[in-house]
Amino acid sequence: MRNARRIFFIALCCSLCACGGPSLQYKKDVSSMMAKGNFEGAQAKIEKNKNKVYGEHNKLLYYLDLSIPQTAQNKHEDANKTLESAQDAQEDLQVQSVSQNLGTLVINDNTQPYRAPVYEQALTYFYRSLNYLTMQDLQDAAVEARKAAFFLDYTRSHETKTYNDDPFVQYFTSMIFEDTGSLSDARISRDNANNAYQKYLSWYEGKAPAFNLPKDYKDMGEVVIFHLNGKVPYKISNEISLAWDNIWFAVNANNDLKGVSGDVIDAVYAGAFGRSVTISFPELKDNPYIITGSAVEVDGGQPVKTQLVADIAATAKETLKEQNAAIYARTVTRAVTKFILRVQAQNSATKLTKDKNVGALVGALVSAASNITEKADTRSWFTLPAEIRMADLFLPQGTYNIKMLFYDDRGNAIDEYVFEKVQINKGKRTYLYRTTAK
Amino acid sequence: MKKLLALALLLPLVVACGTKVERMDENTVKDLSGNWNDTDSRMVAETMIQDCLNGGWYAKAVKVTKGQEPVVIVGTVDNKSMEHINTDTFIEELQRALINSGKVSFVASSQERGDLRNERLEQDEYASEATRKAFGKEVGADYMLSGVLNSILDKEGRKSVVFYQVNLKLIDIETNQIIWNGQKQIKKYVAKKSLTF
Repeated sequence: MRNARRIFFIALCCSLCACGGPSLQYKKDVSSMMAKGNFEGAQAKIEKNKNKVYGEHNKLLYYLDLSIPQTAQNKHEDANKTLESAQDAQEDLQVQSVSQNLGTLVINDNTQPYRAPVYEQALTYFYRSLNYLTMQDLQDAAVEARKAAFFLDYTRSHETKTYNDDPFVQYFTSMIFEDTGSLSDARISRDNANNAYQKYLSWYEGKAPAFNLPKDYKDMGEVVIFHLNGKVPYKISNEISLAWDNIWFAVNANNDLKGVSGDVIDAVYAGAFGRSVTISFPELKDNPYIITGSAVEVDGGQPVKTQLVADIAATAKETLKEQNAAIYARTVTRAVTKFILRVQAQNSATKLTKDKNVGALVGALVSAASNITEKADTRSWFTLPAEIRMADLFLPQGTYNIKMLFYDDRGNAIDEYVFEKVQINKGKRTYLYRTTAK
Repeated sequence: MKKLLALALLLPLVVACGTKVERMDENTVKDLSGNWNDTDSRMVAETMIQDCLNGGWYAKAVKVTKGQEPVVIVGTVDNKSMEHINTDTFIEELQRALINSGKVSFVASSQERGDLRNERLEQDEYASEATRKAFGKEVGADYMLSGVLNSILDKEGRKSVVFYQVNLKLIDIETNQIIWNGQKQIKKYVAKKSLTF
């Protein structure tokens, strides 16, 4: 019994040291608040857990997660300060740490601070820019657009085998370049957007989004409405303990283990009984939402459907698929390293004490610690929407009430939102957005 | 003994965790991120002031204004770089140096003028007749100062070269002629740490 307690103590220590970021339950809680439209509550929960859940190790993730409920509440300045911190944190993370890299080979992938993949980084520019646009600050929105264009150009030229361009962010930057009169930059970004849409065409029902330009558009004002919809899939840990001994007999017979997580029991007993290897890898789990479409209605006129312009859920899945090869390679390397550590510890203890039983116990302790620390990296920007939809309307100069209608998968309008007294100016583009996670 | 040892070990950690602030001379050059900073802003302002005051435009301008100081207004300075730069700092510095030179006078910007007009409207209602300021006495500007800040970034891994170019123009409001064009370029090589233990 004393041995079992020691094993659990080691397991607890290792779990605490794993720095795995937000737990599945935490993600579900925040996600549920956002689904109910309680963005204020979601923001408060994230802020409250800054140190407890994220810590210095995952500060980038904290800023990313926080920025979405802030943006949804139209706290543009706060959201942009948060996103600026996220971009700075990402920049700082380009420094490679020898010890953290080593940690991924002997502990788990969570020993590395969270680094945002390409699509998440690209979206920070979009969100910051959108916030500036809503504050009528085109100059600073354009700064973000230029940063996005540079980032995507750089990524495209340096990352040839991964998701290396973002069609929607390219499209969005082209609109901002048009707004600032930088027409050649706008043309380049639009070409890049079209090329990237062609690359990922299957996500967009075989055709890139297209918006009609009326003949008399020069005499009109334009309103672009973004619908930031749904919940991006979140990562879960998929763990397999491969043991050669019959571990389940022991687990089921022990009443002391009631209430302890099955994964922990599995890993500890697999380790305690010796020859076992725990393999873990992340998997994306869909986070269901019921709003699947939307339309825009101006002053009671005919509703115009929004088009899917960014499939963030598909992008997340594609990104993980591309990362999997490297994740599996590290997992196997880690399993071998941990096995060698166990054998060496067992042999050293046996040699030192001249007692095989002590050696076996030490080996079992190391094995248990190895198994319990084997956690997949389930970190991702989980407050993101699953998709971005867009409507692009041309209207004569004037003031309008613009209604957004939200539909379920049967085409029933289940919710709505009205942007009141929107001023549309001739020759100018106005941007609006609405976040739904229902 | 053990307590003393523990204290000795903990002390450096406690000291290291505290925030350290020290006052610096405003002319000290301190580059942290490699981004545009106060030193760049000051370098641009100094170059522009010299260039502007020594420019041939002034003698011509005085001739046009019949010996009066030319009146200038600050227009917009577009930030076309990849950084959120407050261009007001070097414009303000330039404006201050030009006013202090006694060669030109500045009128308030369009936003400031709007505030002042509102103030005069309120004075009309609330201020005594003796102290009330009248409408229609504003001085119209002869020239507008405007410009653009551009940047070009070249990056490879943790190394980058950033090139800034600031162009300021003085434009004759009546004729749209550019009577002065100042330029300052700054080029920086930034190498960031790529490996740590």
